[in-house]
Amino acid sequence: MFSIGIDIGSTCTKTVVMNESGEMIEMLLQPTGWSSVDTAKQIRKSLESKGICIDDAKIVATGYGRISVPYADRQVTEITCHAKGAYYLNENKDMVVIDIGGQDTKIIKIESGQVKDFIMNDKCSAGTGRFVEIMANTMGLTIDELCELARTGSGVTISSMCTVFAESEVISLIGRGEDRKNIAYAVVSSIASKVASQCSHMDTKNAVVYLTGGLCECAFLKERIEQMIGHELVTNSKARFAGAIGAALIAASKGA
Amino acid sequence: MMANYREMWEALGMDLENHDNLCAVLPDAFGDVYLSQENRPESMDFWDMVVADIHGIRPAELIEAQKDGKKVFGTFCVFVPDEVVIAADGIVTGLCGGSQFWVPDGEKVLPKSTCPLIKASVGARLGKTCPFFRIADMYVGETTCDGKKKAWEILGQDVPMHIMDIPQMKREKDIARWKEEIADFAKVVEETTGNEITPEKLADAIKIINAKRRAMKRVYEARKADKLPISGKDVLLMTQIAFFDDPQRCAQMCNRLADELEDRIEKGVSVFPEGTKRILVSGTPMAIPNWKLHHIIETSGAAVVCEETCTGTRYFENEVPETGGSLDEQFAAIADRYMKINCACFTPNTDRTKDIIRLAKEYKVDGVIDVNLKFCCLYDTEGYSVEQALKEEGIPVLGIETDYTDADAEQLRTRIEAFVEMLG
Amino acid sequence: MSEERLNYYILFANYTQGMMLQSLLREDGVPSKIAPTPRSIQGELGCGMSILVQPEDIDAARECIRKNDAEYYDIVAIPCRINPNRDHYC
Repeated sequence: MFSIGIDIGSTCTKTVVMNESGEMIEMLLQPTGWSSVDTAKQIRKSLESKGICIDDAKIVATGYGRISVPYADRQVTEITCHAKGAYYLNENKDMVVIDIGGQDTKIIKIESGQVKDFIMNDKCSAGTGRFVEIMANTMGLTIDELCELARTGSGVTISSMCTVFAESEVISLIGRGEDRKNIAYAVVSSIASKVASQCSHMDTKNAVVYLTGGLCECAFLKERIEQMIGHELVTNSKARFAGAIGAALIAASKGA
Repeated sequence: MMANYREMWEALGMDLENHDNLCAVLPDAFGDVYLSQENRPESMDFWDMVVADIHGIRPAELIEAQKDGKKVFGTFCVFVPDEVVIAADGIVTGLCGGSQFWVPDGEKVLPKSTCPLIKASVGARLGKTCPFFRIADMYVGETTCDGKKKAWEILGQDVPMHIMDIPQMKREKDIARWKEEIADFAKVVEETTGNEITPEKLADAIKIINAKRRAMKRVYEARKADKLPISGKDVLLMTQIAFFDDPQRCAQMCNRLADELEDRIEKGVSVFPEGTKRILVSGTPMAIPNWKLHHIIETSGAAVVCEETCTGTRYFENEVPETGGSLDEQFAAIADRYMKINCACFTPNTDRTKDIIRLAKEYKVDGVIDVNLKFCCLYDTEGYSVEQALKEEGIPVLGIETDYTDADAEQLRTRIEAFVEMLG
Repeated sequence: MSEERLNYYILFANYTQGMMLQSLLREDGVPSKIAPTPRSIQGELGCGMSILVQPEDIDAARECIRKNDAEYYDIVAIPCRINPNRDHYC
């Protein structure tokens, strides 16, 4: 029997399928789009086309769209799932997870595989994936392009934390003829500093700090956060699937 | 006889059209939050009835009392001593302030960065959509925060106000000064009511208010049981309405509820499945109809077993000694009792942290949710020390900041569900 | 709760009538809840308190009213509006 974790985030939906020996046999990534209900239907279809029958699988849904998966056996919050997934990916070590999601950023402290404490940002989108996405759009870049370009820039800062104000700042920087690479640098630094400030409320001394979420492959963002928190970050190419992996693990262990 | 509250509201000079919008949303909100529960104590019928006509039944009683020459004092805070008003045959009533409905009217005159409780209170008066705010003969404010102090100046242009100066510290000289404030308030009450406060009448009033406190405490005691006989939402409703009701009837109803709860405990009747996580809510008050946080908690696999708030233990803990004596001695006893309320307006306020830890143990809680009404600087700042102290005690704590809007409900659910999952 | 489900609201001229019937229903063991009357059915009726009865209990409630000659204003059925997951507060 398969164990399936479905993480419907605000931007991307991640699906992980584990077989009975706990191997991840499928990892699917797709945009969430307008409707998480439709997304859930699409997942069902693509799994079935791969010969994975939903009906005899154990399924845990997580993420902000977790209630929109009618065929899930259970809903578990992304905080618990990210913790479980990151713990698994990082060889079961105690750690602090920084998850930069599409609409919120979470700092999660894990001890012996259990969530010990967590911090989540307010309604505001500063320090989240959405912030980078909006800025990238404004600058006519993809998120990956923005991250790469940022590495070559320097010297500019965006002072507004608020995404709406920050966007006007970026627009006026563009208008002033500021080099795009410097603006990209400012965008990445802005999100890094917001994340670092959130992180300062959690004790990260002597802890492994693990980065998950859609931006974990943005190497320059990782470096900027490392500089600001004065601590090395660990991540993994599978880290953006941490929530879905955690959900699949919960499905497997609790029999959902 | 047909009840006709519309005529009464019209006579009170209320904005009927706008008020009707509030009347339209309340039944659905109450249905979702309260009537979705099963196996509630039968004694909750009383409070359900009161809510069903929250702007009808009690306001009509107050108006009848005024026809008999009684005076009504509208109050905003648990520091205003009800005993003094009761001793002069006056009536105390709470005022509207717990709904987003009133906030826009408040924002017409107050900065947006004012706490929703103040904005809603001022808005309820200025928007003419709260009957209690039309009925009261005298409004009693206090100096528990900067937002209120300035709001009184704006309200005072519209209604007669008396302000009690609450000390900011609890040294002996501060308590002595508070006693003087109470004595001054007594004079104002005597002038407004035309009735003299005698030592005998004050002693009787002290007994009346103590009996109400004791009855509420009995209900809270029942929440210490392993099998919870009542939801947190239901107790919150009882407490919210206690601010508006006649104190003797309130005591009677709370005692009747406590009887039923004690019977339920004996029979092992619970309104939650076994293993439901027990939560202590600490922080800022929840004026009626603010049920948001309790509802989210209690639909996320947890139960609220106690509130360390002004709409909770701060309202009824500690009694005034019923030793009688001169007016001066009784004012001192009243001052002592009220100075035991641990509000974030005091510095230092370490006794509040001790209260939270004590209540967490007494009510055997699995975790504490420390809630702050947005823009309440005092409780927000104190949240840091509260969280620190709880962590030292090994008690899990979740800090939440919220207001009266629905906008953050989904985010709150995620946090609260995650917190409950964390509790195991 | 499914949208198809009906909720019966017993309406009153005043809350005294309502509380009287509620205690009679309690005595007879008929499940009932005191509710604020939904605005859509209150009309010009002054009293905002009603008694909410589920379809399976409405016959027993009517019998209780008949037997006791209890006073009420009207009985109205509307689709169930109660939804604890709505997160719509007031």
